[in-house]
Amino acid sequence: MRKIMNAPKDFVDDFLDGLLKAYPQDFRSAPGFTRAIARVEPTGADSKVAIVTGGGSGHLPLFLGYVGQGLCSAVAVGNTFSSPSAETILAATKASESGKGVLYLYGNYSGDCLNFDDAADMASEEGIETVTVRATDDVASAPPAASGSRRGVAGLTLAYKCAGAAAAAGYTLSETAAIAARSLANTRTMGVGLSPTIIPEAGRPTFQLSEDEMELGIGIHGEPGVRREQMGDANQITDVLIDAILAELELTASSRVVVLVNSLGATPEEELYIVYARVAHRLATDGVTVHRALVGRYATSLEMAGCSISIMVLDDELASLLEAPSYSPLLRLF
Amino acid sequence: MSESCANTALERMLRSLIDHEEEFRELDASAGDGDLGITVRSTATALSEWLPQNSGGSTSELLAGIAQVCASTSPSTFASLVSRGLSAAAKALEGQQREDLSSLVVALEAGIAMVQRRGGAVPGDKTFLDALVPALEAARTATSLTQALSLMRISAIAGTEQMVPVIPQHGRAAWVGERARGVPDAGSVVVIRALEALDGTGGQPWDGNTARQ
Repeated sequence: MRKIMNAPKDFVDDFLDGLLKAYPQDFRSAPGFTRAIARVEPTGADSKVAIVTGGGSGHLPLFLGYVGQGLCSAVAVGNTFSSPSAETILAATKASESGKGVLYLYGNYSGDCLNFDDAADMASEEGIETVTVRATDDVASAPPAASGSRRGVAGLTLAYKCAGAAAAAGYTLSETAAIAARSLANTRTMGVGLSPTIIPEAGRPTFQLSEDEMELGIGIHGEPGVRREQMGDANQITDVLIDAILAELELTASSRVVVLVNSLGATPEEELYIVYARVAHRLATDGVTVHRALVGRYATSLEMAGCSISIMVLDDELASLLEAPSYSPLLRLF
Repeated sequence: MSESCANTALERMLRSLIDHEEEFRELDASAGDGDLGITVRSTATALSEWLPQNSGGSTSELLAGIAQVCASTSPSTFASLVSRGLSAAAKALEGQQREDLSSLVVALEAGIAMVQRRGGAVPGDKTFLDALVPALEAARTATSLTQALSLMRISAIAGTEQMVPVIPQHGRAAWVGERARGVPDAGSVVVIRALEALDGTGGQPWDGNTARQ
């Protein structure tokens, strides 16, 4: 394993230390909780619904990078690929809520669900109202009949953007939650892995792939995908992903969509644009309008090579929320 | 079991769990994300440091303290569920002075019920419940604490092996479906290794490799 790090057990605390030092004007840790990180709000900012997210480390810019203007308010940071504790989530909640309630918006992973649910109970005891919305956008992780058990992956990007804009525009907690839920209901993602992930503390790859193989339906934790196939060229790979997504979205010639082509970590932007070219061609063939495209690194799995494609169907309200101003030092958004 | 005896058994269990880190990592990587070895090792290491300073109280207090360490050190799904289960067991034993077979059964019943309620899995889903539930049933038939631990170990192994050919129905392993067939559930193997260390009667350690198909 070749990684630039000090003691593997300090991997998360060390990168957080550097990140907080790099962007002191954007991020602050909650008192006594170095892993509960909130946005530095401008002084005199109006009170609004806070959006708290969180999950394991190893996915940057997910989750921390989505704390920013017009995005999330705070994040709870876990160990690599491992949930943050309920206490950390509660600390992030208290560091960011301003009396309008808190939306818990995160990916559907059992550890995160347990700890966010416990944090919600503790917050409720302290008089803080929370509502939970979980991302389940990965089509490869369960059949449509069991879509509620799917995992959340890069589609969270679009939900953060829409819900964050809603909160900034003064939507109530239930309205903000409804926007997050609708964003996710309209979004499907599928990924392909070309090389494994190495968890710093484990020090070895989570799986082995031979040169001519790809792992279809991979998630963002180096977990195996649903099936292994012969490596194809960019158009063939893109077609497999896009076919799985389009099978569930029922797009018509009047549909407007956002496309997100996401690197799982190691895949360079050049390759992502080759993928995007095929996506654009496929959608144009169906007469679908691409309202906006995002191409880059949005939800990664450390140094895994591969990419995911997400497509979100827009309505007028979601489209206007997407256009609202937003900023995080870790992201390129619209 | 006397307090010092219980502490020795716990220390033996923690050492064994740390020693089996690689086994847990590899089993978890074949179906999940491969962090179980790290979770178990870091939690067991934190408990080894915590235990010597916190062993004076009742069994209920001890379990509640262990639960707290599990919740804060590396709260993955597994550690979080174990923590919730231990908290429930601690609550069930509150105010009890005796440490006997019946309190073990009471603690296991409360702990397992909480794991089922919070985790949402049922026996047969190929989770660590398939080691724990048979272990509880075995404890109910025992006539002494020593015999209970031995029977629990044997039953947990049988329950885990029975699930090897099955596709998991719950949690992260369920996402890989067919590919998790033929491999023992990683969380169940943690239960087996813990019970092996707690069972003072010894015996040959379980050979996880022959259980694979």
